[in-house]
Amino acid sequence: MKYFFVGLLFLSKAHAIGLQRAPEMIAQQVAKKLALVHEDLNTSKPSFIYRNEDETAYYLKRIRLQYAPFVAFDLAFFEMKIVPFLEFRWTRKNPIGWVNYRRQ
Amino acid sequence: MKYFFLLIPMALITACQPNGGENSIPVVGLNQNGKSQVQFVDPHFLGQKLTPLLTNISDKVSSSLDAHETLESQPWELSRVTVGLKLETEFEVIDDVLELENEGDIELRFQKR
Amino acid sequence: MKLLISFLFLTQMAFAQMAKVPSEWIESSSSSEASRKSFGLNQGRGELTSLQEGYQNLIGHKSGMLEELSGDEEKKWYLQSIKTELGIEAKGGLGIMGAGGEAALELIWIRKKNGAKSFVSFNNEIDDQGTEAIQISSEMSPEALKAEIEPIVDLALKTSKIKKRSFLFKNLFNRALEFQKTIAELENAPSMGPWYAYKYQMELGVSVEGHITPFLEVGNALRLRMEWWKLKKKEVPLMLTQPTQNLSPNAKFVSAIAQDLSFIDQNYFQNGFQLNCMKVGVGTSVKGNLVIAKAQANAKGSIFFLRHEEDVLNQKLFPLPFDGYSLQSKDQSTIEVGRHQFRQAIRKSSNILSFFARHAPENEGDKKYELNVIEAEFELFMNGGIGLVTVEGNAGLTLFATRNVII
Repeated sequence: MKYFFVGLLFLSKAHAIGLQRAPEMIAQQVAKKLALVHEDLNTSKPSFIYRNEDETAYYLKRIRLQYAPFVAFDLAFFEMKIVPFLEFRWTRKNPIGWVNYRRQ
Repeated sequence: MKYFFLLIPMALITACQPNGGENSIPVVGLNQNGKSQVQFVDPHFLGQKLTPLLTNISDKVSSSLDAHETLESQPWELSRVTVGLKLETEFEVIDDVLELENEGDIELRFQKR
Repeated sequence: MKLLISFLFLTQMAFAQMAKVPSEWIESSSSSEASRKSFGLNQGRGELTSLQEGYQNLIGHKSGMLEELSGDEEKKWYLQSIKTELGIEAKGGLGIMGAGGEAALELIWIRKKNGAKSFVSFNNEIDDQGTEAIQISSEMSPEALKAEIEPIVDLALKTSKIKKRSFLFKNLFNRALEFQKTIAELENAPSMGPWYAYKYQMELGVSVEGHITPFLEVGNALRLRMEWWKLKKKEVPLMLTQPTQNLSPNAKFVSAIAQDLSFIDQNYFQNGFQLNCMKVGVGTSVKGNLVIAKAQANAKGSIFFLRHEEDVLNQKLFPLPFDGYSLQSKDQSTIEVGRHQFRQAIRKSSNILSFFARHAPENEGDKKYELNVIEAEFELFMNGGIGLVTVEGNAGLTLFATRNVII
């Protein structure tokens, strides 16, 4: 009986692709995004956005970019789909002589 | 005999319910009307479906990242890549992208050794 | 007929029982009686025992699945951690997150190295290979700020479907300028107990046209997060700022939150977890004063607070002339929440997280992944109350319990 209902799912709406293609497609999307990142991202010199005398400062240390999903994969289970999204995180080191503010 | 035919729709209703065995895992989310709903799934089913998928995704993405050479640049260094997997029943396509609402049920996070 | 009834009865029996959180945990009631009941302090513990079992079953299922994942030992890039979510439906039932809605608990499992405990640390970057020195004035000039923003705009444009650079650039630049004004005041917030602000995060949705939108809006091409971390000069000893007479409203706001976090009942647990981090979404009023945002989606940014592990400062809670907080909803309406009420909310939310931290599994030596971080998401209600967010709600405040993680 369960195969009857699973069969019905193949008649559902488009936009969903078979699950077996998911790993390859996701990896390709990762590679595609990274291929767009050129080295000139890093040419500007970083600065503090605010600095308090010579003691503490706020510094842009991390960027995260999360991209909208690009496709849906059919889980073949009660119309559920798996929708992947990608996020990339870039971090930069502190300026020389500066450490993360922590109470010691 | 007449009651036998009543059993068939009951059996169908039972089959339609996501597996309601004693060890079922509840899955919560929103229905189309924005109200909460619960489904029960067989943990073995989830394991059978998801474990090979996650393993394959992990393998392919790791290989893809290893193949890249532009990741060592300074001062911004790629420190983590996340593949998030959301379970959805419906979605819309807007401007050629799928709507991005909240984060997914599983996020695979890759870092460099 | 008897056969049919029996069948129906057995069918119902076969359905799994779903563990439920106490109703007080997802409602805004904050009376001490309700709180004591829900933490089992003067009632039978049946409800909580069932919840404990359900919670541990869910974690066991997740953990079992992770252990099945094959290794990638030969690769440079590897699966270092996995985040999974648990949600609560409207009546309190706890389950894994499915389609849509807000997660109540986010669990992060980290890969252990060679079977040993994993320590994930964001090291102090003190080596000489660090980034070169920087601008010397106390405030970044607009030109320098533009130069800071440009690479981020370029990156976003290259890698997503965003079309208009000028819109994105202008929007981001304005946000950064706004932030620059705010943190000048954050810097002057005096120390108030073991909790302190350590980073500020801006989380933005970006439309295809390059407009900044609340990040949960439909149709976003991109979600952008920028984090500014507080740094200190390596050689200079840390001099904690003492309260001064004329603190700005924003400095008082931040100090008051840090002070009120001291009212958390318990921070350490036998299984190694500690309640040591909190994220609160903030917005600004018309006058530019910081307010607490009811929902993360409407926040201009988030302030992260960290708890010092040992209260070596032995600080007294200095009296701070600050009466209460403004809580702002999406339509910009605000209510005033007194400090006593806020402290009660903090205490309630920390007690809830304590339950989940306390009943998380011990570190099992032979497992590949260890549960190291539990994030609990809370909804702030417009009557000043707080509760665990259900899938239908909006999270505004996050408490973190961590173990074997150096933040």
